[in-house]
Amino acid sequence: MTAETTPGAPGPAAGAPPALLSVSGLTCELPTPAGPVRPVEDVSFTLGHGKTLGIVGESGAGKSMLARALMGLVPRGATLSGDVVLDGVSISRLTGKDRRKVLGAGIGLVFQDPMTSLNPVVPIGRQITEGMRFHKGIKGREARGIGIDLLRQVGVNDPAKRYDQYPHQLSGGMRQRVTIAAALACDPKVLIADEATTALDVTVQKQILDLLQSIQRDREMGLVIITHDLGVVAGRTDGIAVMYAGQVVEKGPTAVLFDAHRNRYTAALLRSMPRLEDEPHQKLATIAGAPPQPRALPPGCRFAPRCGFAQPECSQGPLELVRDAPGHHYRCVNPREVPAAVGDEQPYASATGIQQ
Amino acid sequence: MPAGAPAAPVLEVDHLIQRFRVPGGTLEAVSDVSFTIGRGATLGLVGESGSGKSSIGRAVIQLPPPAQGAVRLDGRDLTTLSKAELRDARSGIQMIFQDPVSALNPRRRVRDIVAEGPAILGWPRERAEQRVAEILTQVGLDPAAFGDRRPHQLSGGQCQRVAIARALIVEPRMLICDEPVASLDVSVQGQILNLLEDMRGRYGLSMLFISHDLSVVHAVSDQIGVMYLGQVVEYGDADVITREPSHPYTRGLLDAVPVPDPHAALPETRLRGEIPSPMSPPSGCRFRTRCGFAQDRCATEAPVLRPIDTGQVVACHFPLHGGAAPAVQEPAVAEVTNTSGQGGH
Repeated sequence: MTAETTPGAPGPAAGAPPALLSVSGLTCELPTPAGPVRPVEDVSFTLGHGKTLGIVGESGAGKSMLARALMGLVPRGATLSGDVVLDGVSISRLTGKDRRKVLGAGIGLVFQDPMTSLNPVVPIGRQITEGMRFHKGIKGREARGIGIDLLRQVGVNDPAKRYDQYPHQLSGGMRQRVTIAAALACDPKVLIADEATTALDVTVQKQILDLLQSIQRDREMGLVIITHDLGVVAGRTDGIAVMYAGQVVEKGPTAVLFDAHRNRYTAALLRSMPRLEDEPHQKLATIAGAPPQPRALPPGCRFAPRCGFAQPECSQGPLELVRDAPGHHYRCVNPREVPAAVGDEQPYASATGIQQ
Repeated sequence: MPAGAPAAPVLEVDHLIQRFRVPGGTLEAVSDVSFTIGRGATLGLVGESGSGKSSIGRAVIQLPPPAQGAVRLDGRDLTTLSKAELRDARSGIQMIFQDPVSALNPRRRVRDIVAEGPAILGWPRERAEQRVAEILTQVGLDPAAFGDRRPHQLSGGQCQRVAIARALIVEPRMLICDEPVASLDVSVQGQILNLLEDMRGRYGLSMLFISHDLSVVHAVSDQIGVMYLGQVVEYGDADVITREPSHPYTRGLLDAVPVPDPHAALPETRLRGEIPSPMSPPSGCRFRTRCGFAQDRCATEAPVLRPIDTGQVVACHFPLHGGAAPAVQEPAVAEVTNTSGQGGH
C-alpha cells in the first residue's frame, strides 16, 4: 500500500532530500500556577513529499498539542521554540499575516470531533469554502463549484444538495468527510489528521482512512496521522513517531518500529493491544500505572516508573535520542534487544501475526 | 462444554423488541432478539452505532423496559415486576457505562458512590463500610487513599474501577458492560478488561459485554452476537466468529479492525456506506443494501438464523461458508443460546 518503505528514505529519517515539512526542536511551554510545563518538548521529524507519518501516543502524550504547535495554534501565554520549515519556508521567522498565509493555506487540519469543529448554524458549503475565500479570494459561484467538487472528492453523496445543508443533517462519518473537504479547500501541502477517526465506527474509520490515503496519493500531499491506535498507522504510514509525556521516545520507518523497536514503552504499547489471534479470556498485557503529570515529570526517563525493565540509571539525568540505524532513533537506557531471529520477547507483528 | 443438562441460565432474553418514539414516527431499535447467558459466561454483542446493541443492554436492565418480550433473571421476568420489586431485583443485575467520569456523581466521594447500592438495600452501616473497603481493594483502589477522593481527582481508568466497584458491591449475578473501555487508552483498556475477567472469576459473574470493537469483545467473550439494525445476524463461539465468520457483515467488521501489523495487507474495504436509518430498514435482509453478495432473493425474503456446520448460527441466504439457505425455511426461531454455561480459563 503506501509502504514503499525504502530504508533510510521515509518519514522521520534525518538528512533526507528536501523535506516537505521539517520540524526541529519544537518545544511548547505553558505557564501554570505551579510553574511552566512543556506538553511538547524538543520534537523533531521530517516528512517527505507524498509521505505519511504516524504520531502515536496515549492521551496526555502531547500529540494534539504538537499538531497545534506546528500550526502556531497554542493557548495564550504559551511560548514556542524550535523551527518548523514548510516547503523551504521557515515558519518560525514569520509573524502575523504572513504566518497565517503560509500555515492556513499550507497545512490542513482535521480534528477528532466533527461536531465541534463544524459550526452548527452555518451551512457546510460556506464552511468548506471559508479558507479559499480568505486565503485565495475565490468567491461566489466559483467557490460553490469548487466546494461541491470537493464534497464529491471526499465521497459525500449528492454533493450539490449537501452543500447547502447543516452539520446536524449529516451522519458522523459524513461530517468528518466534510471537515476533510474543508481542510483540502486551499490545496494544502500537508494534511494533519488529529485522531480524525477515533470517534467513528471501525467500519467508517476504515473508509475515512482509505479516503485520506487516496487523497494523499492523488495530491502528493504529506499526511500526518495522529492516533492512539497503533493499528491505524500500521499499514498506512511510511514512518512512525511514538510520543510519551511530551517527548518523542522512538521514531523510525514503520516496519522497523514494529519489528525492531528498542524503546520499552513502544514495546509495552504494542503488547497491550488485544489481538484477534489470541484465545478469548487470556490475561492481557498491560502497562502498570498512569502517565506522569506534566508538572511532576520523573527525572531521566519519563517512562521509568512504569517500566518493567527500569534500572537505577534510568532516573539519572536527561535522556537523549540515540540513533539505532539510519532513520531509527530511540530514547532508552536499557533498550530491548533485537537479535536477528528470536529474542527474550516475541517479535510482535511477524509476517503472519501468529504467535506460537 | 459440560455434558448433560446445562444448568438453568442466569439471563434469558426472549423475543425482545424495543421501540422508541422519535419525531416522525416510531423507531424499532431491537427487533426480536433472543439469547440466554449461563452462569459465569460472557456474551459479547458487537455492531456499529445504531445496531441496537446498547438498546438491548438497557432493555435488559429495564432502563427503559422493552416494548415486547421477556427478560428473565434467574427465571424471574423483570418486565412484569412492580417498581419496588424491580428495585430489589436490580441488586442481581448491574451495569457499567462507556464514560466512567460522567457516570459518577462529581460531588460525592468515592466511598459514598460505591456505598449507594447498600444504602438503597438498607444494609447496616458497619457491613456496608466493611464491604466498600473490600470491593475497593478488589478493584485495585486502596480504600484509605481513594475513599475520600472525588471523581475529578481520578483518571478515566480509576473512575471505571469505581464504577465496577459500585456495580459489584451488591454481588449481582449479571453485569452489563456497555462499551466499558471505549473511552480509555489502550494501556488502561487492558487493565480494565483484566479486572473484569478477574471479577468474573471471583464472583461467578455472567456478563453481557457490548462493544463496537471486535478485538475487545473477542478478548473477554465466550460467545459473540453480531448485530445489524436491531437484529442478530450471526452468533457463535468467540473464536469461531472471529476465525470463520460466515455472515458478510461480520467479515466486513473484521476487515475493518485495524491490525497492528505493518506487513499485513490492508483488506479491501467491502463494507461501503453507512448503516441505514432504523426508521425504514430495507426489505428482506436488512444488510442487503451494503452487501457485496446480495441477490434478488435478499430483497424479498428475510433470512432467519440457522445453524451451519462450523458451529455458529447465521441469518444469511448466501453466507460466506456453510452453504446457501434452503429455499423453504422454517418459521423464524431467532434463538441464540449460550452453550458453554460457564466461563473459560
